[in-house]
Amino acid sequence: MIDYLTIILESFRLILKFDNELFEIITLSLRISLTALFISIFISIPSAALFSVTNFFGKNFFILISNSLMGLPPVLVGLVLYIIFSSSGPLGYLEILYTPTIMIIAQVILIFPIVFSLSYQVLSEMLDEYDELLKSLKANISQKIITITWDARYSLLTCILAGLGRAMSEVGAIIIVGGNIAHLTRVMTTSIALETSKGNLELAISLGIILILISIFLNSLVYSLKVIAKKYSYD
Amino acid sequence: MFVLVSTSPTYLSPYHLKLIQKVSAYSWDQMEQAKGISFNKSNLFKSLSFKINSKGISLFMGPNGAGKTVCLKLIADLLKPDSGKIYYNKNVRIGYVSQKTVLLRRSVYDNLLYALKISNIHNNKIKKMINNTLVISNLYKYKSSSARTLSIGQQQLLAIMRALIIKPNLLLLDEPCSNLDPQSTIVIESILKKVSSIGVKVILVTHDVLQAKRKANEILFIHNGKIVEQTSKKKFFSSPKTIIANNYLKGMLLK
Repeated sequence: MIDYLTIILESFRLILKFDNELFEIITLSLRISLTALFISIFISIPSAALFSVTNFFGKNFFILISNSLMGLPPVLVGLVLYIIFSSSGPLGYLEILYTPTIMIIAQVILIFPIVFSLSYQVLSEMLDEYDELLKSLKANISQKIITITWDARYSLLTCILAGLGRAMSEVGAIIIVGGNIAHLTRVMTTSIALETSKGNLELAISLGIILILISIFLNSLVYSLKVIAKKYSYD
Repeated sequence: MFVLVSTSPTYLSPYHLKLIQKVSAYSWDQMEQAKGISFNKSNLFKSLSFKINSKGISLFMGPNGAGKTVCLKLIADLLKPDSGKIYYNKNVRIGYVSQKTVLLRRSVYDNLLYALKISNIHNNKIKKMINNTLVISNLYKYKSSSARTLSIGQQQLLAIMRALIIKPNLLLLDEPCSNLDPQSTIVIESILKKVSSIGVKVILVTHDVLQAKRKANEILFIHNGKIVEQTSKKKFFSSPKTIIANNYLKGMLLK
């Protein structure tokens, strides 16, 4: 029978001990997820704003596809990237399989539809509200984009947070393309998967607790910002 | 003289504005083809033509759904007619205040600053201009507050000041006093009177008969998308030419 108390106590002991390996795993996790998040934000928010203020043929189709891809199975992304970037694949010569680079690429693919679709929703609503004012002031497209993005910045934080949540918790894609190699591509979620399969529950639980704590910290940060914005009625 | 002329049928409905705006992005010719399909029951304007005096305060009056707001939006260039044209007598700079107050999620000061920046008004006097505007409108003490924390009346006032700060020569307002108490109404009306006296053409939409009596120089009475009467305030209230206008003033329901 599993001795839960011992496991939990041991996992807390590991957290408090906070050895080098644990530190390495956590920093790599954050580095990969945050880099992927920033790349996604950089691409998805400006394009969502552009989509909001313009009308063109096929726009609704693109939105539909993006909405559908919000639930894209990570293992599928991992598999496709593996096929493309494996040594016999079309982009195999780049030799980025089993490196943090491809893990970032996988996460960008997973996060982009989430941040894009949610931001598009927020920015479209913002444009609906401002449209007549912007038209009456003869604002051009770039002025419209800057205005709605700036004024929706606090609401956009929630979209970004949803993307970060996906990046931090995802395991299916990065375990395939990263390979969970110690000191190179081992991150929190892949370690949890590995340690659980090895029966090393203490380490798995301690990593799980740290993952949740990081998530709570980042969420509180964004939540506080939103509360402050609401207090001053900027949200 | 400020002139608005439309020579052939115009099909507009306030209930389908969004749809129409979408269609207009392609071609207004297509609108005529779409007439029988989507707008058959709600055609609003047919060959609407009128001229508005370039001085003073002109007022669109009429019951709900008559087409007052659509007329104002056409003049403001927020809607394009499917045919016909709007002529202005000089290089027009339009200030527009919509029926629903839209303020940016920014401070009172930044709302005014935004209008100036978007209208390409950049000079070293901007700060002074904004501060003066805030003093005139009695909003100076709220300068750094979020515009959305103001009362409804103050928000409406700020929206009007934002339209005025870009120094328009044509000011269009859609029911600017609809949700205001008498004090706020007086403040706004006096501002309108003042800007009109310095040469800004003011066109207002309202169904407030008392406001019309107080402030209008000229009244355009709209019913079912037609200007049924265009006359001076005095004539309109003392002896309206049409039975419809007469009934409206008596508070009777119009067919």
